[in-house]
Amino acid sequence: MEKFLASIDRRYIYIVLLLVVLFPLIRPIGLPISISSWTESFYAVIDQLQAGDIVVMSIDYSPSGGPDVGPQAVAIFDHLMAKNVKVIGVSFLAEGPPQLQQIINPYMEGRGKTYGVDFVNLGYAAGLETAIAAFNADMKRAFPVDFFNTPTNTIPLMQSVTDANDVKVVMNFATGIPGPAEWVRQLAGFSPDILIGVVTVMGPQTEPYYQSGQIKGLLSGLRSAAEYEVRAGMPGSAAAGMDAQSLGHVVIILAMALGNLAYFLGRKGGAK
Amino acid sequence: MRRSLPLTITSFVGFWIVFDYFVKIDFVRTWTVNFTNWVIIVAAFALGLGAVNLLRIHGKRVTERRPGWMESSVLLVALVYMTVTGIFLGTSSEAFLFAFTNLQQPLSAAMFSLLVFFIASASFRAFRARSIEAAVLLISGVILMLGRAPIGEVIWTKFPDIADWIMQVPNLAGNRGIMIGAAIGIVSVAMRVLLGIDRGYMGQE
Amino acid sequence: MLETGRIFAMISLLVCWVAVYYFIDRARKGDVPTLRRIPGLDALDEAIGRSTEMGKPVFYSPGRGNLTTSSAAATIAALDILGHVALSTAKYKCDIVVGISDPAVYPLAEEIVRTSYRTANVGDMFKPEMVRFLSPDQFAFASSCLGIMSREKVGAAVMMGFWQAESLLLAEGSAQVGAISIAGCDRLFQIPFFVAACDYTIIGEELLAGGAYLSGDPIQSGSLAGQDLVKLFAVVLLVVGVVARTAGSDYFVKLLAK
Repeated sequence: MEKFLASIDRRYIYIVLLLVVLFPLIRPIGLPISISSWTESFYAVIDQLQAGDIVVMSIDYSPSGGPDVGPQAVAIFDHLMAKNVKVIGVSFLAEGPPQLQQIINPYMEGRGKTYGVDFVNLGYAAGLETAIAAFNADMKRAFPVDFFNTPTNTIPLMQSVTDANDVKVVMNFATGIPGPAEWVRQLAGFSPDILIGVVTVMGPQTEPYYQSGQIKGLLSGLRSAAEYEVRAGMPGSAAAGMDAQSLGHVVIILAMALGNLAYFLGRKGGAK
Repeated sequence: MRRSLPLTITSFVGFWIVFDYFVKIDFVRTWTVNFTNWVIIVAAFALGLGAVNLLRIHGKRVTERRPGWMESSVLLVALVYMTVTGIFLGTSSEAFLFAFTNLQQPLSAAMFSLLVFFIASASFRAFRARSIEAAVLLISGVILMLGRAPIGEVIWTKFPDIADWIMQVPNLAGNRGIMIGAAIGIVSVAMRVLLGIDRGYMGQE
Repeated sequence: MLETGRIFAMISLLVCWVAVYYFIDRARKGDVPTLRRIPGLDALDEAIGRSTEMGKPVFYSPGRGNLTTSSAAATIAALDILGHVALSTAKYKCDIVVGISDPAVYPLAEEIVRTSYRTANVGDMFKPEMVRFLSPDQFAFASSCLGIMSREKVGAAVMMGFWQAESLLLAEGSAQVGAISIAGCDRLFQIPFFVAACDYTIIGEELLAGGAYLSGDPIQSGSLAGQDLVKLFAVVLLVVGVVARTAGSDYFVKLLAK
């Protein structure tokens, strides 16, 4: 038995995992999704915003982390648009602006919103943390033109902002650097609330900022995006992916159990 | 001179930028921005060096028809395409966005999703309850996985609460310890580098 | 003149620097602290020796950090360790392949490996292909590293520095080719992957102490003793803060926010 278990080719585990993850994507099970305190706090900050308030969304996630973090940004942008909150989109990662554009594209051609008035994509500023510092101190100087090379000082939405104190909330969606630590450091002394959305594995490391109150809400991975969609009453792609994630977790737990069974049987055999 | 000049520049600029973080003086801030811009320019030249290295290794493989030359030629074509469209047409151009959306994004996401398979094989191969500590780690890992996925709630409604407790108490305690230790280490490394005590990154003397 | 919200951080930084400088000064005068063993760093020579015996190259990567963000310290520490590893591979006349992600790190790494081979009097063994710039993109870099491990059948994989989600891919990839793997990272959320999948893991500040540990430089070792004193300062702050907060005082919270 132990020999059989120890000799299982890892590719069989891969196939089982692939099938188990694919199944609920084709035929959803509809497992219930509860809302965590992280997501609830995030939602509360967004829900308090009034029509006409301005917020910053910094899209600092890589294309690879997009499937895990992107749905958070999509859900929140949709929620902000529904509340008529204005959004300044920026990025301090070179791959950020095209991904931000994908989020705002549905609103570029209709839905009652206007580019430059309700939202803007300022593009990318090089320099990582120092660029974030420059943006907080003077937004138009840090981004002289937007993603489409329009001078920032001619964009209506940008007329009422100078520095970070002119916005209500700053949100950072990240998969690494720049991420929560950089934003918390560079917004020290400024007034906006900080909200963070990160890739799943970054959640535990970001938790201390949440508990200390330095950030007001935290989303971690696809699960948090699903929770936010459910909380905001706008179920989307993230909620649909939860069943697959659940079954994936079960397969990994079974793999661990099998691995340990093989280990203990092998040890027992060795002790004889 | 070959070492002392770069070390002097490193020290001066490093201390300047640290000073700028704590004070509100326009002159200091302006020069910090200038120094940062220079870093970006130097990094751009370094990117050029990297591109030359890529061209040399993969160009040689293609011209000598060594194993993997097909993959190398794909890499070279992609390198030239993204460079040309990004520089001459801009990153908001259709040509650039086409490659970004249809190639880079799905390929990156595919590599990222490969992680789940590697986690599965690692969990089968390496996550063993070899000792009491390892067993505790394993059990908390299982509880967290169940607590963070909707299926956990279906099995037992308490799983999310226990998972939250694990995250917010023992995990956070260890987390803070490592964070504080690493942060102090970073400050110490920064000081050694700025004072020219740590020169290992410049090569053996 | 001082930025509000950053005054306490400035005082803490000064305390940190004074403490570290004090112990560096003591080390200069001959009072060198004893360092505890770090098994992961001790295992480097074993891994290189094993690779040499098997006639396989050693794979080394200083991670995906750069020199201008908070990942700089880990990257510099990884470059310090690269100097030691490259010197050992040069002495053993073993091949090394260094995978680089950040373009600014590439010339530094090349210079380190080149001078290491020169120091070991085998300068002619150095080949520019030993240090390879792979890609700044996270998973393009990861797939390149996996490709190198599998094609060149490395005998040891050493991964130090700043890592993100690619950590498990590389750790598991090295296990699949049967390489002995040693990893070091100061990012908490990648340490579990390395601990689970690698033979040896260097955790948090152990990585940052790597250069001092391996070089045996008494002055650098002194700085580590200074770090311990600063840790004590952090512990005192924590305890006083917890007691004050529990007693209902928010004096320390306000002090930290100054």
